[in-house]
Amino acid sequence: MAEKEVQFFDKDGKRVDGRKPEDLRETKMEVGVLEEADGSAMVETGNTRVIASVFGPQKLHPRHLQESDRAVIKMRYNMAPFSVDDRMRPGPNRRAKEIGLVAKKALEPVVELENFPKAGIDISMEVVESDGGTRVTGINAAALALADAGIPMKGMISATAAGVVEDTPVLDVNGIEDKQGNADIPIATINGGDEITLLQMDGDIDQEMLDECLEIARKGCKKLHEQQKKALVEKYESIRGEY
Amino acid sequence: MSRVKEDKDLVTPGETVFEGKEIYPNSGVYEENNKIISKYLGVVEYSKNSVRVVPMKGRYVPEEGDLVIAEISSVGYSNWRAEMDSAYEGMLKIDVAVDEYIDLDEDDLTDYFDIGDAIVVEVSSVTEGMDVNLSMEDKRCRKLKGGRIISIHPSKVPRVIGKKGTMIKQIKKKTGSKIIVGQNGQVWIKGKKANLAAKAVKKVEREAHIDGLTDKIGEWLEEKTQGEK
Repeated sequence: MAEKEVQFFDKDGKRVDGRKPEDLRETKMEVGVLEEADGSAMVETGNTRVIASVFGPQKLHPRHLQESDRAVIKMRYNMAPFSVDDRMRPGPNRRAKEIGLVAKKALEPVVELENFPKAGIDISMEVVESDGGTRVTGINAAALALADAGIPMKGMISATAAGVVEDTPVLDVNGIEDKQGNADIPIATINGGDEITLLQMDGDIDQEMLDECLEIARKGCKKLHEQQKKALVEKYESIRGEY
Repeated sequence: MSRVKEDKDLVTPGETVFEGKEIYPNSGVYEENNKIISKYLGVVEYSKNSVRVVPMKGRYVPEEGDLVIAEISSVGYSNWRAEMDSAYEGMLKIDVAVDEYIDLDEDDLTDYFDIGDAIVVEVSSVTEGMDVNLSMEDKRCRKLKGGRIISIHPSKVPRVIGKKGTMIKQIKKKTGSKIIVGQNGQVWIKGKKANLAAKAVKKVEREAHIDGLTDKIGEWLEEKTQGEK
């Protein structure tokens, strides 16, 4: 794709999709979208859409992966061939494996794995449509799916990405800002609070800028956490509403 | 006493249920910085001096003394293995399964239980490494013949049984079915109106977090059975 100069801010200071720098994209969350999975969720953030499913705790194969004192999470991150503008070659690649690993490490601290020795929990994140921030959207969906599956957790994980374009920190970078901006910083927090379980950075910025980015990203996580709580409760409130 | 969430409120993992030290955390919650926090997506239940969160869903984890409905998955030399819709398989040894004498080299174990047979069985012990031993010594244990098995979420089992068994007695009476509810969420139903009974059990599962459900299910069953006449 030919790279052309992108105007990141218009004269009002609005971004390419009309947001202010500290705004999240419009986010939709739905819990229990899959019938067969123990837990599932779909999260849509702007044009990015991820479906996560959870199976387990169940018997873990192969047996040499079993841990005698805790459960093991198997995480899969996969992008559909039609999720990007050009066809993506299906199957696992280096990037998918790495994202699967960091997403697993972002979720592990809250899941009470020691309740299920020898068992395995299979989490799958399927990227249906991609426009930047797939790993954080996937983590949000996976956290919802875990809660939906009834797996004991110390808290929810909420994740979003901050970034820098034209020396301005922005929240929840989209595809163009991610590809052509200066930096992209995905972070995940427990309950939208102070504890961070994922922090990556891709780009070139100084420390002050990083601190500013973290500041707005934390605020974003807090908002997303509120939305997650609502999405989880909604499913059961609607049944109560029938009477 | 400062209740953040009231009785029967829905909570999500990580949400504070109670602030202070006046009551102790029961199942489904943990204590941190003088707060009692939920571990599950579930319903808050206060009792006199404790609070717990009953999860909405979750796989069955075997516990000693549970009566479960299991399916034989393999037959060994002197034991059977049984699947009970859990992460862990149960082992049923011959001495606690059959009363009569069996000659291991002469007799065929599949004469007693074959692969695919459904049994009502008691969990006799669970080790730390989650090795599960089963026993048929309890008089309620037996092989199930005929009927069907439906599965519900194990956390909803107490609701399907009801207080002192009121809910399940009601369903049994109004549909004229035989019903056995295993702690692992497997429900065996046999009878002419098994379809209706299965629907009723599924309805209880879906609406478990609603108050006064026994009466509501009673009315619903009444309505359905009248339509048939």
